[in-house]
Amino acid sequence: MLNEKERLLAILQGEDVDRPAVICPGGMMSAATTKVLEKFGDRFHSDPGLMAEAALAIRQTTGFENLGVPFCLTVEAEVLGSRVDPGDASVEPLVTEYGAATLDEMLNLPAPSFQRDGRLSIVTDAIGLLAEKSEGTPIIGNITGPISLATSIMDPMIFFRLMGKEKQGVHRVLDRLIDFLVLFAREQIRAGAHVISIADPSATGDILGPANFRAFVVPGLNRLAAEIRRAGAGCIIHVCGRAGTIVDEFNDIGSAALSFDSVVSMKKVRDRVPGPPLMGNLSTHMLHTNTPEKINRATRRNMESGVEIVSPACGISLSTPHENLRAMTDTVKGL
Amino acid sequence: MHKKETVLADMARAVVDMDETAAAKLAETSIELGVDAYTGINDGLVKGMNIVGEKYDNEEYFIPELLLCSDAMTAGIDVLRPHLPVKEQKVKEKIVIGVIQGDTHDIGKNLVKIMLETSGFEVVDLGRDVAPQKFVDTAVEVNARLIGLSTLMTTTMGKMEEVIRLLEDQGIRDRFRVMVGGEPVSKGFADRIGADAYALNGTEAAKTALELVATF
Ligand code: B12
Repeated sequence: MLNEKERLLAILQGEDVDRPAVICPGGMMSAATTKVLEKFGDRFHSDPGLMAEAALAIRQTTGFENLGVPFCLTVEAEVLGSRVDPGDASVEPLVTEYGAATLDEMLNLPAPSFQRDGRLSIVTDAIGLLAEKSEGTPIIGNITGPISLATSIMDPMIFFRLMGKEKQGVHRVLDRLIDFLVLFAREQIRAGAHVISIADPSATGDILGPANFRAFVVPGLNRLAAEIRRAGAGCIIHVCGRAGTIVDEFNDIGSAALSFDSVVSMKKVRDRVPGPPLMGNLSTHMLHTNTPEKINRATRRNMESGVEIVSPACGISLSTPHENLRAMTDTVKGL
Repeated sequence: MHKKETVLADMARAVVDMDETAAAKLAETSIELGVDAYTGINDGLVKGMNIVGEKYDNEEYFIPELLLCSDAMTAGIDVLRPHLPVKEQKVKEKIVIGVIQGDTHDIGKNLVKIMLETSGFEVVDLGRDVAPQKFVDTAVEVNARLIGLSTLMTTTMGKMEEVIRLLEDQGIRDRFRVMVGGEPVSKGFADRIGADAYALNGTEAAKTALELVATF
């Protein structure tokens, strides 16, 4: 029988396997819950040992078939000038002050050092520690998608206006941010990540509309996915929101598994985007508020929709009960 | 050359077309033509912004477009405001708005703000990650009668209730109307925590705010 790592990597290569994998990558889509995190004080976002231990504990309690770090979307923005409130077991880190107010300021941000700056090395060190303990389990490193990163360095209200007014400048900034994200992904892969997952919640079709999505999002995701594959890792791209208007764009995004929100019908996506492996998409609301029995049934329906990877549809609430996540993972594993 | 009848429609169009320069210029033209500033704002610029709101609701426009339209409206209003007769420069109804503590999601709140401004409210924006006490203190300080609370996370919904409890504890609940919104929030939730209203989106929020003012 395939182990968890072999199964996920085979799926990401487009191979047929015995059953879907069931994962929760980390990053925006972290499976951390207050109940698990509480046991680790409040430095699990900033201490590699605690980050690794928390990731192991999350896997243990939930049954997800991966280890994933970090648990937030602020690591990159923090080294690019934004101020971050570190959060704790009951609330995730958030940007309190933006690092730039103009495109020029964004272009002139100094290149961060992967050894010294912010929490970049916290994440890679945590991955290194996990690599020593993760025989048979895939390690998923996470990066913040380009638009979400840009709008964590600059107020989204300014950035969205510039998308209409200064298209060239916005493209230049996004290119630079993607250069940085490629390097960060490579560092994570070098440290031992088998898969890199990208989530870009601020780049939904609902927020940007199809034209902006096509112009500003698709090319960047394509490049990231290609670079991640070239560096030898699998790649997952998560798209938040009602992707109905933009789903066809994904025929252009090569070489990544695609993950969608619960409002999206995976059957319909499969019809329209036949190529890539699909991941999804159990409602995070249901996982938070429903019973294990209902979740068991919903997970079965989800598997029947033809996804290769079962996962929550988006970022879960920190107060999601473990029994519910267990019900989901047990169902996929046939336990 | 513009005529009185067409200049209002052109102002609306400039807003819909996201054209800040044209909106400001047409506002000047309207004054030269003797259109009163109040009519220019309401039947020109705001009318345009309401069309934009509809286009947004119909998914013809998205957030980047909506923001640029709102800038065009503001550019026009800035030209017209000094021309308003004193009686029309009446004190605007104030609303204190913000995203509750622990939550960074503010895109929705910012849209609600734009729609409230379009409907004539003065919005005092506290930003995101705002402590419950701060809402109460600010509302008292700036003499606002409305408070709008936003959150996108189930994790932070509980903090909304704290705002209401604080108002009660300070014996000033009656002086305020509290409106809540955001993805996980519902009418049922609003009722449970003792808020006065819930609204689904920006357009509804503006309507609901006007209704709340009428309850004083
Ligand atoms: C964009 C986004 C982000 C962006 C936010 C950028 C920004 N500055 O706002 C970024 C990338 C920063 C982000 C971060 C995170 N996110 Co997020 N994010 C989203 C996403 C995809 C879209 C939200 C959005 O902007 N929608 C567009 C706007 C226009 O709609 P809206 O906000 O709903 O607003 C409308 C109405 O709700 C209403 N309204 C809103 N406010 C108010 C107020 C009043 C008074 C009224 C009347 C009406 C009203 O009117 C608005 C206009 O029509 C949602 C998914 C979703 N389904 O909503 C997840 C979502 C909110 N995020 C989620 C998560 C988990 C996170 C993180 C915790 C991830 C992590 N692991 O760190 C962090 C947050 C950290 C923190 N402490 O806050 C989860 C929340 C789960 C939960 N706990 O309940 C969601 C629900 C994803 C999911 N599961 O589906 N995210």
